[in-house]
Amino acid sequence: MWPITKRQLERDIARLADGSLETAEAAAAEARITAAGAPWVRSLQRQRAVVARVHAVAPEIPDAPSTLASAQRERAAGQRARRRRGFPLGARRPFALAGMTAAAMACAAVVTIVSLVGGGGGAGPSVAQAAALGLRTAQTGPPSALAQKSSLLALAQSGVAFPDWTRSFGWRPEGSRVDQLGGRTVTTVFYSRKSRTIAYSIVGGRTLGVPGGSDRERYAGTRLWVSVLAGRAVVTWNRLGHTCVLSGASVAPDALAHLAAWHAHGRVAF
Amino acid sequence: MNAPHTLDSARLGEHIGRLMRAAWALTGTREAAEDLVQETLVQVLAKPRQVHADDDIAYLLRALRNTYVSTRRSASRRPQLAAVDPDDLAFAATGHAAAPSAADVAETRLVYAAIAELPERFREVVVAIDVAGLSYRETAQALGVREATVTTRLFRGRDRLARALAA
Repeated sequence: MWPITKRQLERDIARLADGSLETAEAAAAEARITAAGAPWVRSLQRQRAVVARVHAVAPEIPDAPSTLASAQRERAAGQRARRRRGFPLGARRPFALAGMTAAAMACAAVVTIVSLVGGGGGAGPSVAQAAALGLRTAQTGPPSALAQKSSLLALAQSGVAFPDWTRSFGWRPEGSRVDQLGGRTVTTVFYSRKSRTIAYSIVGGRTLGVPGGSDRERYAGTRLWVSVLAGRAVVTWNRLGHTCVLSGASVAPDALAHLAAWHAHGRVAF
Repeated sequence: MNAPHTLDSARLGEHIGRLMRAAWALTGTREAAEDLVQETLVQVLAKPRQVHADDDIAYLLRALRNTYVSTRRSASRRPQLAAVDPDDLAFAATGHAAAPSAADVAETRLVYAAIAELPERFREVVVAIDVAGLSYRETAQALGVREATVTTRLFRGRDRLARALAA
């Protein structure tokens, strides 16, 4: 009989730990490990424990399909738009144009599929609730710029970075806050200019429903919904599959729409 | 041998959960995982490949891993757009079900962060087998190595993981 090698014992332990051996094989492997001595038996116990621990924490991601599909569709559309305008893709790797078109078409199919798999949407806070966060105060100081001339701040919600309007519009970031609202994480950045303050919130998870009574507009190629809630102008739109809400008092809805639709030559991803 | 077929986009939805978990363990954060899965799916859909029957998940995991490697390689050449939001983990785990305890959330973060810290060759097999639930054969196909190599790496990866979690 050939002596059992260290590598053979390691393989026995790996398969025993996750239960991938048949009963007869498992019994033989366990006998080999027992015969090899206490250190190998302890090794098996350690591996079983770590496998159980990894399996126990495996998180469920119930709304991942619709979130992913939605973001996928938005991202594909955004990349195509930026490519048409001749802007660099920024954080994304380039694809062949034909490939992207095929991807966008296929993504639409996936959207339908994962909607069936993932169930219906609609749960979550309302746009009005998200806009109301703009009435609260900042919890932290102003986020810094991501990089010089990047047009983005070093703060994001669900991968969607906040814009830096300082150079182009004079709206400076003054602070931010993070809230849990209806099971969603909402990050808000407050911007100020000439003693006026506006709030830009990005809602984690799938997009929210269109606010009732709002006017649908298209501004610089971006679809927006504009409304006035409790005297505050509120503009809602989607970026990369997430709802964005920009609100402020004493600021014209058109001014907010202009800020909301600002692409910064493709550097602000939609 | 199963006959090859073009990857069926209609069945991709079945694999997104496993891909998300694998991506999460690879990257260490939900946010980065979401981006990685999206990037992978867009690429897979743009260039549908011939795969053998029942090998879809192995192919997808290989694509995920390749995308992860190439994305990480180019990351140093571009600005990072997203700041990690610690609340995202709680949100993802919560979904529409009962909220997990703070201890559960902390445990999830701890374990996935420890996996993400493993050396690449060990991390890949731990992610494929213990996180994504692939078989040894599927993992060997996905990573392009022999099944015996998978088993050895898995043993060593788990051993390192156990020590890291015990520390």
